[in-house]
Amino acid sequence: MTKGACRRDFMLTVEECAEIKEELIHSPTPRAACVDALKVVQRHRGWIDDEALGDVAELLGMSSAELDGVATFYNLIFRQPVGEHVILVCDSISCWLVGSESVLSALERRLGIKAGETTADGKFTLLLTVCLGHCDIAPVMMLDGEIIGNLTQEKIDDALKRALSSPVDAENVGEDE
Amino acid sequence: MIRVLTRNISRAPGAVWIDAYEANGGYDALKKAVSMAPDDVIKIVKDSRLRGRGGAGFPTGLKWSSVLPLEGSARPRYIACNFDEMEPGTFKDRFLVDGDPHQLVEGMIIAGWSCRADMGYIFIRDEYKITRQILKRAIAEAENKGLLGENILDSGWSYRIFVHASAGRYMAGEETGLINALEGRPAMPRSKPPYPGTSGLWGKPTVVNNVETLSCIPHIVQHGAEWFASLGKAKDAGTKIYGISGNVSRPGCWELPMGSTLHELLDLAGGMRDGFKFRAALPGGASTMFMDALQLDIPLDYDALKDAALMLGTGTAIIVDDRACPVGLLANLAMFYARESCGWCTPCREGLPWVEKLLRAIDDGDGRAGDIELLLDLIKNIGPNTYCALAAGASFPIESGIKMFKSDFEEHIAQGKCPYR
Amino acid sequence: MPTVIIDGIEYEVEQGRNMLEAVLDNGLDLPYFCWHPAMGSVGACRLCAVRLYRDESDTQGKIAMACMTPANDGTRISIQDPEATEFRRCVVEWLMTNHPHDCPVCDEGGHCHLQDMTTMCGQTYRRFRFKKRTYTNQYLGPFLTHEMNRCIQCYRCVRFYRDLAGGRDFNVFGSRNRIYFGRQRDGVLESEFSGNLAEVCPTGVFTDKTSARHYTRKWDLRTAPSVCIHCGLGCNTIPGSRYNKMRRIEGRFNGDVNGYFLCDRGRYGYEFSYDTIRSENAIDDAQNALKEAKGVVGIGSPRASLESNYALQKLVGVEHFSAGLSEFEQEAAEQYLSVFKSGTAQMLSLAEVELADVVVVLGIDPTGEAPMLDFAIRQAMRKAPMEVARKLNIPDWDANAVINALNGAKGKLYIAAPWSIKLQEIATEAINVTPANVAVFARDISRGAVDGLASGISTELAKAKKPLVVTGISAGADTILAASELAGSIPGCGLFVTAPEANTLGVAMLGGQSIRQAVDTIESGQADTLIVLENDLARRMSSPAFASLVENVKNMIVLDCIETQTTRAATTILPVATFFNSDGAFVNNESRAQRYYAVDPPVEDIPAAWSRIRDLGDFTWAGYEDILRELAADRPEFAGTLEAAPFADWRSTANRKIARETHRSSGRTSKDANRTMREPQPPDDAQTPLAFSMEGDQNPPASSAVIPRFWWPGWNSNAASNKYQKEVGAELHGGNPGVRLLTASGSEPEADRDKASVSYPQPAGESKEIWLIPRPYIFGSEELSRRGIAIGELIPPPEAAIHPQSAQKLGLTDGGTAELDFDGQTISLPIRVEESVAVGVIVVPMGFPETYGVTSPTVARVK
Ligand SMILES: Cc1cc2nc3c(=O)[nH]c(=O)nc-3n(C[C@H](O)[C@H](O)[C@H](O)COP(=O)(O)O)c2cc1C
Ligand code: SF4
Ligand code: FES
Repeated sequence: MTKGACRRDFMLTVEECAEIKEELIHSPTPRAACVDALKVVQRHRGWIDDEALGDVAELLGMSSAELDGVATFYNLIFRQPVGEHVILVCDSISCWLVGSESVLSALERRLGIKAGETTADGKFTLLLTVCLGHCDIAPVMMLDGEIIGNLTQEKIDDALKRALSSPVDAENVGEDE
Repeated sequence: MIRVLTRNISRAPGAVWIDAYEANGGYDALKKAVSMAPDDVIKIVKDSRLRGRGGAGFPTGLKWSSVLPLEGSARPRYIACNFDEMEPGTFKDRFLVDGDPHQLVEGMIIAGWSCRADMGYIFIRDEYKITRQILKRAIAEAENKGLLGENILDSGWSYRIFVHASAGRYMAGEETGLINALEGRPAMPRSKPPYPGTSGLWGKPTVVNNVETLSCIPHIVQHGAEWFASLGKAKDAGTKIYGISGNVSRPGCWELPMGSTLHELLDLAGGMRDGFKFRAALPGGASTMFMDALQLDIPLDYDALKDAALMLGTGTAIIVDDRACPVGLLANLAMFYARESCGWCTPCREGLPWVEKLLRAIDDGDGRAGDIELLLDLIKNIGPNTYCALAAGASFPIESGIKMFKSDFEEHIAQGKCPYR
Repeated sequence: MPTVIIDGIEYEVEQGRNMLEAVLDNGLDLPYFCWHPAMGSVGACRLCAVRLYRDESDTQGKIAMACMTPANDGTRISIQDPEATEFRRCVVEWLMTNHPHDCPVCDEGGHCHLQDMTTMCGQTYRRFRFKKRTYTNQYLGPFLTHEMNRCIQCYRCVRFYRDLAGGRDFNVFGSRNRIYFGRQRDGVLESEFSGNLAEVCPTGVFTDKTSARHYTRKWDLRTAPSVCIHCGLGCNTIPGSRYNKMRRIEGRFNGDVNGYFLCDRGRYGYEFSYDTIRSENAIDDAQNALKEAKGVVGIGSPRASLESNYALQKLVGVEHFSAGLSEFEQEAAEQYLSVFKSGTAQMLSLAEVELADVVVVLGIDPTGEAPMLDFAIRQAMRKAPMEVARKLNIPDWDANAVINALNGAKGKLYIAAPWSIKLQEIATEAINVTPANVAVFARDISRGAVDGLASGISTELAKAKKPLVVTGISAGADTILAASELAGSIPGCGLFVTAPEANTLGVAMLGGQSIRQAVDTIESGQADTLIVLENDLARRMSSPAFASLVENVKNMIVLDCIETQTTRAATTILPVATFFNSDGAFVNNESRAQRYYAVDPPVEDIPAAWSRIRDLGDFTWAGYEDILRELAADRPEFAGTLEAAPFADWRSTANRKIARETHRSSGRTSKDANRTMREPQPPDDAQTPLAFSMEGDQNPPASSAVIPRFWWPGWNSNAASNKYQKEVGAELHGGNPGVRLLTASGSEPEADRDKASVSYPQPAGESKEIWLIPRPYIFGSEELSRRGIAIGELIPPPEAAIHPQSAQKLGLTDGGTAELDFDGQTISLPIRVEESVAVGVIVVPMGFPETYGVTSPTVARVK
């Protein structure tokens, strides 16, 4: 890897750089690895800030405008800060039919925030998302990468409690292995 | 019940891994395929009358045979498996791969051989994290056994499969959007022609197929075209993974002969949940037209549904019950499409949000006289005239829904409120 | 030629067109947004919808986008089809759901493609009753205003900026109805062609920020056909003024030169016209000085018109006339002329550069010197591998399909230059060597070097379908000779040679001494009086030489419109009209004579330079045309100048002059209401076939050289140009303006090998000696444009760049100061040490006050 060895002036960590370079090795073109590279950063920081975006772009030989064009297109790349735990509540049709609206209001009540917001203590971010592909266990949400279905008030409370007591499993949130 | 695609799916420990798969005849089809000329394999697929299970129902054999001939074509050539599965109400592909990943891997290898590809990509939605790990392990197992990689089964042909996770966007499931996404670009669609078979990934010939489509391939090669064709109950060939969601007793997926009915499906799902009555259904995911209780016995296959001005789509039905407000339901659908529009072409980008706003307004009691006509007028113009099929997919349920539930709309507007609330 | 059927009528179209082009080619109307003649089709806006029929028997048809439908023989469409018409109206209605109703305060109003299309589609009534979307805007630098709320997402901006101009700091962000076009963060746009965004944007998202300072509607502008004065390429322009003040410049289509576009220097350089000299009319002093003179020398100028230069030559006599070029330039220009006339190589136009597939750039920096050449080379490199797409049956106009099929493939570009020029970012290979070694390298290629880069290039050139060698007068005589030998050694190879200034080739063709020789005449006492025509001699000679000249000359009469070191040293200043207040002819780098017309009449007592000269002598010229006629009679090689544009007595088919103002021009009587209540007589223009008023013909003139603006019923924006072209995007009706003066005579090029040593004074090998090379910057090096307000903001701080190896040898360090001795003068500049400069050279900005005296590659001693 000649281009973009992890430079001293980078705000990316050595781990992040190493993981991005790992993605690059398997990628037919540097650009094809850009979503994976963004996910590396997101796994470490929860979201992509402008400086990190610039560093990733540099590593991939892209301009930050080119990389941000990709980053801002996709739903699961966050360009704004999120809380420690991210909750994605499905608001598509199958979940809606079986009560996603009450799931959402339950969550909003419990967390004291509206969809799209982060709790004041920075613990939870509550987001709406399109169909999660688990309509057979609707209503569904995804918490820190884990799918939780057949949601009821108790299941929601339980999931929130579990999240608070256990650190985020980076493996689960991001890539595998 | 016939089980072709689901025959290996069980809760038994280890059932998903290669030993179990091979013990059950797995990879025999691949061995057979590589002993044949690629064109002969394509001929079997053609004769089987397999149609793409991704929603459009395009004949798979035809797609394969229209790929640019190897001679004079640029290399490498690609197979891309479409495992985006973001169509609301659809979860069949996950079901198949969670239960039998090698079936897909084998299908992809045979597709690679038939289309003379050098590389395969499985494009999977990011939320399928466990599924992705299963797939990766299955690929590694196949590589270890020499079924993938260099000089596969001594055929002199090399082929590798990579798994690529999306970053979430319905448009990434549209085949050319998928190609852009794989290249690390926004999943905007590309113009056709040129079709991906001519100029796809990185400008090279590429075949994009759905997970279920590819999963059918080993069985077709193994048991022959006629056998596969005969599996269908009505005109179309093979079996189908049908699914059901909504307020039914047991939502889920079942494998049934192609051309089974919604009636049968509902029975398998244990009927409606207590306290709910069947009102209507979207037979094949969110991008299809509504059917009503009188249409429950129409065979769920491409042609029969087409004759009834309906569509099979992905074959995973969404059941609408009597307690759901149809206006709210359509507003929800419109929101999905407006939000997932890529932003490339005008009718979809600007038209759908208007449709959504109108539906919301009516649902919120702010409907006005003339809104129904305006909605229909908008949909009529948006639907058929966009760059890709996303907006058409939006227009099918919305247009048919407004017509089917017209009295509900009128009531909303007349009362200035939602009678369901 | 295929025949297509449009609403039942048969039309012929060129091979390889799409149906939108077919419609427009035949003079019919069909609205569109995302398609652009220079950018092709992408099918995004959906506005060009028509009904397409399979064949004669098909009565149903289907809605299709004309721009994505090939115009094959027998293709049958209907534009008038009610459903297609209604759909097109819907497209506009959808766009209007979010477009602000701010036309009255929008700078695009009145020349807005969106307004035109909205009217054309009959969208009048708003059915959308919800809120509009809003965006925040960005600061994009001094050239463009950004107003995203007006965006209609046609993607033209990003396609121009990224796909054509090669810029990487501008993109499209987000998705769905939140798509955003801009930069990742606020900041100055990096591309040298950013100003074109104002022209390709069909609405008011990107508008000319300089123009906004004194905004004028298109219909209130007084406009005239003109030529850019800021480099030697001669791009065609339409300057617009109101109340006798320049307001903006837009591109004037010329299919042989610049096409639709301009560089930012050409577009924004006009602001120099705010910074002109006014002084007492000293014509009597000048006349007296000439009467008393013991010998008069005249120095012309490459930024003055052909007729002014010729008038001066007539006044002082050929033997006492200098073309006003430095010795280095003069020699190189003469070499170029001899190469041109010899026919060794095929001399290409700027438009033809875009067709090349293998390009070798020798010793010049197109981006800094002749920016539209950079753009043309980018287009060539982009289009060169088109065969790949054609093989896949992808038509050339299917823009995104072509990009996808080519997958980043580019034509071959090789560069040898003393520093890393910007084009190196798309080059196949580049070397950075001293100027003398550029010529050596060129000879290595043509003489078939056995290995290395030179041999690789010669193989590629030989294989190429359209090979091209590019160099320039600024590269020196020897490199021009070497480049011509190279081009001549390859069958079918083109040669393109840049000229530094708008009329460098014109004055070089007029002939005369170099400035040095003219100065010698004075210093030797043969003459004591000097007339300088629009030329700052301090930019073209070393500072001591300039000082000595000023000291030795008795009377120095300077004609100029701007204040310079030379006007400051003058004994008599004769202010002359600016470029925008005078008519004339320039000869561009490929010897194309082009005429430009004044936008405004000369201001009161400040006439054009040629008339000043007339008054100094004993001439009877009534107008500049008389001078041109005399020149053509005198010197047949200038005859083409007479054909380049019609003369004053020319009239339109309606027997009228061409109106520089539109008949919608408002407030004629109120413009001067603060001074007079009378409606003044519109200024007369006896010099040209144009009128300075709205009286006259508003229709497109039959002569393409006198198009004052592109305007057509229903087409208020520049897209109206499609009505002025034979095929849209191709030649103008009446041919593209301009006449090439030189033709090959087949004579041997004069090659004076000894001159090589003059061109390139070699460092004597002494350890403190180094090549000192002036580098042209797009903003700051050109004399006039650097005075502009907007361009002034972008002039880089002056620095001396040097390779680390050389820096070490000379004991120079990054951030330190370089004191450079040459030709008896010393300059000192901050040092920047960087790899991108050739070893053995030190590169300083050309034409900056800090570097006056560095006129050409020279040898400096480091103190
Ligand atoms: C907006 C949109 C989303 C789509 N999403 C998917 C998807 O998630 N999975 C899929 O297999 N096909 C999807 N399709 C269909 C694909 O474009 C394509 O037709 C299919 O992958 C081809 O495979 P098949 O021939 O095997 O069905 C989508 C189409 C559109 C227009
Ligand atoms: S219909 Fe148009 S805007 Fe919508 S997703 Fe397709 S291309 Fe994008
Ligand atoms: S001009 Fe044809 S779709 Fe935009």
